[in-house]
Amino acid sequence: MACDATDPIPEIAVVIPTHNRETRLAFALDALAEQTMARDRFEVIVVRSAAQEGPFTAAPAGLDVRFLTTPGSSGPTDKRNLGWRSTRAPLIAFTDDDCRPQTDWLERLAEAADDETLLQGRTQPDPDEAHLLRGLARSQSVTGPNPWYPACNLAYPRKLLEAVGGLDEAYSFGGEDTDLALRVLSTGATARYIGDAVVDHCVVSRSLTDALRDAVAWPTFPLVLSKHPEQRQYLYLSVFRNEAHALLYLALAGVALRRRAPRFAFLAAMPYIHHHLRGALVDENRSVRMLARSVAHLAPRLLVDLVESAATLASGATHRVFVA
Amino acid sequence: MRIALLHPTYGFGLDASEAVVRSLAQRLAQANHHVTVISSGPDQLRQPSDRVDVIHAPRPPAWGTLRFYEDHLERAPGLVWSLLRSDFHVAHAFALADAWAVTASRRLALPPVAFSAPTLDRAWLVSRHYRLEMMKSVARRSACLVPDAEAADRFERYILRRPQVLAPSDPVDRWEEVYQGLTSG
Repeated sequence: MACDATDPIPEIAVVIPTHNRETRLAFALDALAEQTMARDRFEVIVVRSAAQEGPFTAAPAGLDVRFLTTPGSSGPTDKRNLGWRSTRAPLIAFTDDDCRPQTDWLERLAEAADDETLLQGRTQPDPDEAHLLRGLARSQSVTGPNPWYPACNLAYPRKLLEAVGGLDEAYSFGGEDTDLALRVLSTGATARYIGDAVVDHCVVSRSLTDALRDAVAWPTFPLVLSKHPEQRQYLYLSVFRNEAHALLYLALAGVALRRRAPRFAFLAAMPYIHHHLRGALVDENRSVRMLARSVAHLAPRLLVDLVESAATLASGATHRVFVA
Repeated sequence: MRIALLHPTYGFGLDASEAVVRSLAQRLAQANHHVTVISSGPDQLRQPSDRVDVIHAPRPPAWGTLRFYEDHLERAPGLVWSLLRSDFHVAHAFALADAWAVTASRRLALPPVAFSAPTLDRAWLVSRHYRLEMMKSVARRSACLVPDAEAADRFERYILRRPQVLAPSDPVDRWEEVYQGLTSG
């Protein structure tokens, strides 16, 4: 359904790219239907790709949702671009189909909005699912200003998106949200963290196969470092995607030197093992069972870290960036 | 028709769904169907006047990690084994884990499945690993039944398939229609 020039202009447009997560999308739309902001002040735009097959979820009763379709099988970048370009709202709020905004999310964003500020809200694991966040399960957590600007909870003034031409479609998957925010900030805009604008992110249960698939699913992340070298300061030791990767390489060095220096091999492995067990060691509800579960998860997590780091190195080589 | 009703317990009816199973079993038996309840609870209450057989499906103790997965999942192997040893025309499950176990084992030539689904609630759907995926899998491979139109709307919204509306108090012939539909195709 296209936006008619005679339609009233909402204050905020919520853009949700989606792909094969119709039930989660239904949860997100239900959460938007419960917003405290009056329905005539915002609109919701859901963007799918033409390659996606039904059945599709419908809008909840009383909430007008525009469902758009990108050609072929496109990624989130193309979908977000189509979404924000299809609205005339002065403020564009991005979230994901696996998120549920809290009821005052739009009110908090609207209060803080101005023409020169990109707004980053708080993201937390959904309280109804947080107990499942263990082992290989994953979620998202943004509890303060985050230099990577994940798009699960971001709002942009429309004029800033127009000034930079929206998301860069060179990014197939991974890094496009960071790149957009950095280009917007380079125009002189500012970023502001709004801790009261909260989005609950689902907890994704993952098998080892799922986790390995995810580990290679961010081929364009190093492109962010190629285009924005200043982001390297936010990498662990300016080289590694996270602390686990750095400690993994230390452990691998120990393995390589195990014959010459077996004691070093043991000591080199300890930081990596401690990194993955420390949650079970310091948790206020710690128990032998929790520790045993964490130990059992060590081998799968080692494999995932190895694959993720190797994939990062490989995609970094493609973009002539060293990141592990 | 030989009908298996699958419920984790079949004791003294403290569980509301257990009472539904008992009532349905008795009514089907009175309509001259051969009804067997397959349960795994410690109490097996079978009254001779019921004309309902009860089979105990073995159930190992649930170890700690399973509490993050679907309820009664540990009874799946015992349940499948009990069905393989018998010859039922149709199985009617009342717990998601039971329905999933039977539909996931369809290559073993198990009977078709009807599943009496609970009224779906988002918080319930997401509170266990893979519960949502299991529900979708069961919806694809079985006849899902809900008690009323509101439950059907919710089911369709979240699972994207329309279930059949069949209340526990509906006449036996409506249940027979569902079972006949499963056995014929």
